Amino acid sequence: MRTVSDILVRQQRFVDRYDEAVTLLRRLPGVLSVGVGARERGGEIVPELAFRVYVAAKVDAARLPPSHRVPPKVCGLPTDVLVKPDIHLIANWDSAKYRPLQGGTQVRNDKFEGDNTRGAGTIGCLAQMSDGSIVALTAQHIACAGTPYAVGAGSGGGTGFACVGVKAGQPRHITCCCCCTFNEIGAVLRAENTAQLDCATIKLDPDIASEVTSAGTLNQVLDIGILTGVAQAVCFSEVRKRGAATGLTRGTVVDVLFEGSQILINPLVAFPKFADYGDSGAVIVDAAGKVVGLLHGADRATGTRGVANHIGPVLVATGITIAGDAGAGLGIPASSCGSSSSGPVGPPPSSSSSSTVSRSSSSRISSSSSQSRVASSSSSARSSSSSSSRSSSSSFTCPTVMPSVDPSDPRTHLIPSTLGAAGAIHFCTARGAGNMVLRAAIAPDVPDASITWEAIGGAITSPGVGADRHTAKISRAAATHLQVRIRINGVICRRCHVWVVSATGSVTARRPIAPSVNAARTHITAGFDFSFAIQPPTIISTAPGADIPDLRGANTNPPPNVSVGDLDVPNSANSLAGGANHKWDVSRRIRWRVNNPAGLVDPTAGDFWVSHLNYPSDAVVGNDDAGATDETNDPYANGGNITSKDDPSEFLLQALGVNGNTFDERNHFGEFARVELDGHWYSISDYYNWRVHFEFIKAAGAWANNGSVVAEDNAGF
Amino acid sequence: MEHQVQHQEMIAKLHATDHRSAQEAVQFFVAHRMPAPLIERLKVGGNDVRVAAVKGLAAIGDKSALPAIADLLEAERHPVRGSEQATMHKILKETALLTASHLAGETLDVKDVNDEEQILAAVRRIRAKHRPA
Repeated sequence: MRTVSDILVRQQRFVDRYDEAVTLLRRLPGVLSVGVGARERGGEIVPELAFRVYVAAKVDAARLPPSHRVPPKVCGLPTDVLVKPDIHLIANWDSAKYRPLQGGTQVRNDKFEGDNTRGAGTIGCLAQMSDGSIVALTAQHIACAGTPYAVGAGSGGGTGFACVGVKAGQPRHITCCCCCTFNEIGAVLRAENTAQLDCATIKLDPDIASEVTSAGTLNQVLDIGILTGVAQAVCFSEVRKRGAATGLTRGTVVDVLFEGSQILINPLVAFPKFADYGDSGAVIVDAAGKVVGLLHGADRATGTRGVANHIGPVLVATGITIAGDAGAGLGIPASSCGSSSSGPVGPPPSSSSSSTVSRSSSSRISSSSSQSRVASSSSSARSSSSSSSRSSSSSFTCPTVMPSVDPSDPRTHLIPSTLGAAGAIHFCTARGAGNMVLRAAIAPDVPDASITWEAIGGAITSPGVGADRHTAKISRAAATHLQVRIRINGVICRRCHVWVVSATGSVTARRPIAPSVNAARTHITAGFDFSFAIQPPTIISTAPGADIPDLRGANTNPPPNVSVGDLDVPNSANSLAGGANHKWDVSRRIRWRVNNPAGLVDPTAGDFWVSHLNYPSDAVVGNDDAGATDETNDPYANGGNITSKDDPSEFLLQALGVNGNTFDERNHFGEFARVELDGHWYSISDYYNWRVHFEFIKAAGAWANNGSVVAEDNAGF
Repeated sequence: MEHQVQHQEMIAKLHATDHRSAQEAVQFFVAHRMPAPLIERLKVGGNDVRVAAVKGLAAIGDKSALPAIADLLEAERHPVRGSEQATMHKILKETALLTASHLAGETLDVKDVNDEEQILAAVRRIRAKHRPA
């Protein structure tokens, strides 16, 4: 267990079975919650992963009846019983003023007064909104400290804290007399306090923001340096934070699913504690300078550990980017194709008694602070599931379930994750007619009636083939991303991702008909630039840790040539292998018709003057695409888009013909996008049809433009 | 010796019909700051590779490439027929003009790359900039 990727692979095995393990373990009396992380022996971290089973107090196993003992393994993976840390909010002090503003410094809103530390926390880092404005990121319970929590006070009029617009200062907001303020940096823009989040942003005042921009401290955190982006928290990894209270401290990530959605961090030996009052809002930074979490709590029992939100949901909730990184694909670790938001294990919660059970159990682990509401909500979902699954599947253990593409569906392909073996299972198909058909191999097999397929984000139908419920089908009529779950006896036993990919084309530049005449020839040209946006957009991401199908890089097979037998097609005898240089590709088909009533002959014209040539019969063939220099085919470097340009051209030599002769050449095109899936090429867009009709007439001894046309259609062939 | 073998392999790749091999060879010669094979590659067809070779010469930044780029522009000054062929040909001329401007340290004012007279004027300026001492 030496490399991060190795740990991620092992960690994913636990995450894959997490929901199932929670279902089993929460049945045991005394089990408060379950996490995934490091095993501990005598308070020391050992380099082994385990389901961390949190209890209120440890009891000698010999004193417990066998049915009440935590088994050494669940779902074939080891467990570790730990006393649950009691979380308290950290909110205290620091006093230095930092200008230009940067992360790691104290912040306090205008609800507090005086030269004390009440209500103070930390600006984790500075970040940017999509409009480029600069905000400070901190914890909600810091930004909203001292504001009322009431019905109608939250965003959109819902229940919440009335703190949007509340002024904040660094190190603390000071109001003097009736009109003067000191240290003000901005006002609260967004604040979220949910089951998984405790985060807020403060929009910087223009003068503070300008100072940050000029000084280049946008991505700077005191004592840490320049942030490089965001990433997923990884078990055993060393992280650091700079908080207003305890300064720079370092720790080890020991649980990435603490309370089902949080990061738990132990301090390294050199640090008596990882965090304390006043550090709330600090960002958790990994060795590469990437933010993995947002600190909001500390462990009350030991007074040393830190608890943080995963950074992915924070970015989504606040709409910010850190060091230019939007963290696409980052989230709370989830089983190989789901997310924690995809719901609890077991049958869909319908038991009305479950909420009562969860509230009573969570109250034992929480104080009356706002954080206790968070913990309560979080446990509620888990308890709900265990409660309801208890009655329906009390002794059920998942068999091995492995989804694959049904042989009846040759157009769907299993594509490796960008995270390799640590990533989820991804099936990809191109948008088109018919259905994607999946099949679940189950060992030992189970009766059809016990198998249920469900999809988050769209529809799935089972059976997909005949009456076989081992199969399911999904329409490929439109681009989509679905999280598919396969339940056996109501328990989620396998998840996977399904992607139907397409692209939407548009014109980004138009070049009108441009004739030019010289003594030798008359030349006419026109052209377009095209852009195709890959759909769904989430399939393209450069965020570290993004778990998406790996369709990056060069194509493995060349795109196809014109089919044998397609004789009256331009370029039917030429290689089109150079037409793609990536797995994503913009291509073009071409047909033309020539009307040459004067019988002009130009030996250099070749096929261009053949009277009538058709489009290729195969939709994926780009018979006007033998090179890639006129394309940008890497959507990962181009915001999810791939582009092309074309400037068709025709000329007539002045030596040809006599006055009054005409020449008409109609070039028609279909610009389209295609993708290579597991070595197979598929068209993924409608044709963006366009045309150029070159019209010449000879007059006064020279060829002239005779009303040539460029248009975005295929009319008039 | 090993380097020489690799060099020969890359020369072969530079002239291969497989565009990807040719692009790899261009990268090799850019990385080793060897303009001569790229200058030679400008004299044969395959506009995909020629564009890459011209960009490679720009990256190396060796002014000795200027005469070869002038030769290329002079030879390719006429427009060509077609769709992608015409586009690639236009890109080749645009890239060559940009590279020549970069190497010569002056802007070569060509508003229309299909205008043979403008191209010839640019060629004259390039040659003047690299007149033998």
